[in-house]
Amino acid sequence: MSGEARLLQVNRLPDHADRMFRAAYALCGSRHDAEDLVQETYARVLRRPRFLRRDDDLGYLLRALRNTWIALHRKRAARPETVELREESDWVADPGADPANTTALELREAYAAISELSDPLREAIVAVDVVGLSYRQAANALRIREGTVMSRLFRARRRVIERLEGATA
Amino acid sequence: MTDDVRTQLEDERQQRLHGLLSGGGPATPPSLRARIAAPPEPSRRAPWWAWRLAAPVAVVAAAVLAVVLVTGAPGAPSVADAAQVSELASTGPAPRRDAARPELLRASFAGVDYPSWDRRFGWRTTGRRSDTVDGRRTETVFYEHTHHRIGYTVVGGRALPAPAGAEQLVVDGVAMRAYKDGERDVVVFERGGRTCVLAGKVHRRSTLLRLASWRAEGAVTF
Repeated sequence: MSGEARLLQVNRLPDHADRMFRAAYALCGSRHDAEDLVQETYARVLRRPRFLRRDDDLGYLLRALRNTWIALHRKRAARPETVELREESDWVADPGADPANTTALELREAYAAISELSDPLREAIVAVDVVGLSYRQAANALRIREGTVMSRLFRARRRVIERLEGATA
Repeated sequence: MTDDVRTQLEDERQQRLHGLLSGGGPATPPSLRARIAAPPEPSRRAPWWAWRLAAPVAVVAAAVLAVVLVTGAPGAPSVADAAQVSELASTGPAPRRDAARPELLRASFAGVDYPSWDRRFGWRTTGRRSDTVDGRRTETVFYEHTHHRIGYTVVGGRALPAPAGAEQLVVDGVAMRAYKDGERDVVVFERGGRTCVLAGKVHRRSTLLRLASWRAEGAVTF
């Protein structure tokens, strides 16, 4: 499982900006907090060379994002309340996405539902559905077992679906 | 409904959600993309003599700070004083939009560029004025929208102490203080280390908060 260490490909990091921003948005529930989180994560990652053993770049970045979020979240707990004004993000479908299955309204509702999940469930759905990691990659990134990823993912999706169906009922 | 059918339906719903989330999401702001694409400057370690100087400099700085704190910074107006300026009449022409940077006006003071809110929010500039309030220079640009008038005042010099009793807020990442002065709402925040005061009569305080925190994708800096 250990394998040979390799350097994180710094020149490819901007390619992951979209996935990282979506992951950050799903974790924070706010565009500006997500921007700050992604920028801070990249700044931390770039401070020194990073050697990866088990992770792929995206999985490593997700773990760095999660750790940075936890650190910032703790700092912010003592700060004043954040007021989010809903002028907010544009919502985009990826090229090749099924247009019938990807509407801005549904995406917005889904992200709102994710923001209400508990941390473990939210992290699982972010890793697999938002970032696009496999179960194994998600397990590495989150430092949990694959079976745990699957069960948390199942519960997370079910809650999001219930919320979406409740919104359209 | 049998268990098999129920399981199949559940699986289909979960796969549809997976398709939704993996097929789109919030758009990455261009400003973030630009910041990520530009790698940070490598940090440079300070030379050895800087460390030797650090201790005496710190002692002197602490002494100066103590004197200032005890005696109060000379000539510093209060935020409330600065906010009063926005009730006064314009004395100069309205600044125009900067053609090269349409999110900004062709007006700045103490390194702070005034935002252009016309296109985005419909607030047009109507004039400006310069004042000296308790020894500090201030520059105010006035904006109007459907008979509502607000003033955006930048106070020269170091940032003023926060107004006592004001509500503390963070709006879209910008730390602010907000309070009511009679019928007027006042919002105070910092840009580039300067105190900025946005004040006027508006229907909802959130209007001022939204205007004050508008970053224009990075064109308006804080």
